[in-house]
Amino acid sequence: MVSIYRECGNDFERRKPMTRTEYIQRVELELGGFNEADKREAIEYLNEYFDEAGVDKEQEVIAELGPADKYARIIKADLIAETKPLEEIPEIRKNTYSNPPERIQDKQSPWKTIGIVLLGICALPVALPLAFAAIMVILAIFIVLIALVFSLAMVFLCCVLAIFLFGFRLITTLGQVDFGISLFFIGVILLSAGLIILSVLGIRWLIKKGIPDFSRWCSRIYKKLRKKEN
Amino acid sequence: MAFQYSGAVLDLCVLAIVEKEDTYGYKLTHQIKDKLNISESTLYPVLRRLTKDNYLKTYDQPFEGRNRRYYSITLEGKLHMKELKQEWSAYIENVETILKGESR
Repeated sequence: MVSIYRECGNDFERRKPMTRTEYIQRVELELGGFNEADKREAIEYLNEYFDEAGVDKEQEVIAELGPADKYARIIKADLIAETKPLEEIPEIRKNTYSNPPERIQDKQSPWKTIGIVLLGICALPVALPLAFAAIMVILAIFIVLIALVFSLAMVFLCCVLAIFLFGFRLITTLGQVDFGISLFFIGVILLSAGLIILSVLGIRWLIKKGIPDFSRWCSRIYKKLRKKEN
Repeated sequence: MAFQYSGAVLDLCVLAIVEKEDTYGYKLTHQIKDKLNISESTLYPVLRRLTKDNYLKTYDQPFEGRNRRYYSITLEGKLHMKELKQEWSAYIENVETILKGESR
């Protein structure tokens, strides 16, 4: 009981006990910063609790529930325990060392540098046709790289299909045809599996290294050109 | 009383009471407080969590010009209660075994 009195700030209020409204206001204040819905529900519950007890039992209820800030702390602890895994962990993950900021930059940089290089070449005070040619060459190489990714993807798809088709043929004709033919089917399947691995490796190399390296190379040349201009 | 009630035991008690009859916060608090040594302030978080986990659901009913929020048990709540009951029995049995000094 004593602490309830002590919560009120000045001497005048220290003499009189906290009212229900003050108690609820205090809890609400302590819960500031939490989700509105969670806060509203907690306050509604508290209001209902007081209502159920009846007007004349206001002080009894306050004594039972304990100091407002302590009551709020219990609710807070529960809310925090629940919200943390949902809202804070993704934030932490973004900043862990397994994903250094350098790398994130790298992922964005190819596209950015290409854009900068294109803009830069346009801005260079060289003959316009030359700049145009340079842009075209860079674009062409870039398109080739992307086309390579697509063609490798096609190889991958075809090989998957081939494995299914020839695997089916192999199983359905096994023992009925010449062993040489079965051996040929097995050969095709193995070849397709090999090509799948190669195409996956190729696509990975192009996306992770080939295209970024090319864009970096472009930017290096562009910087060199600019130095010469100066 | 020396024993503290928290977590699963309190969940089990709340579920068991609500399973028998839909009830509201104030009544539930006092039903449990009659038997167990709990503070009045501990039950709201328990009810909130059980509701959030879909073990309980709430509905409002007007009473004397205001709202009374009732809690009722869900199917999931009943299943959860069954599990907790089994674990509780096993726990009690183990404690009893130790108290009786039987060794296996």
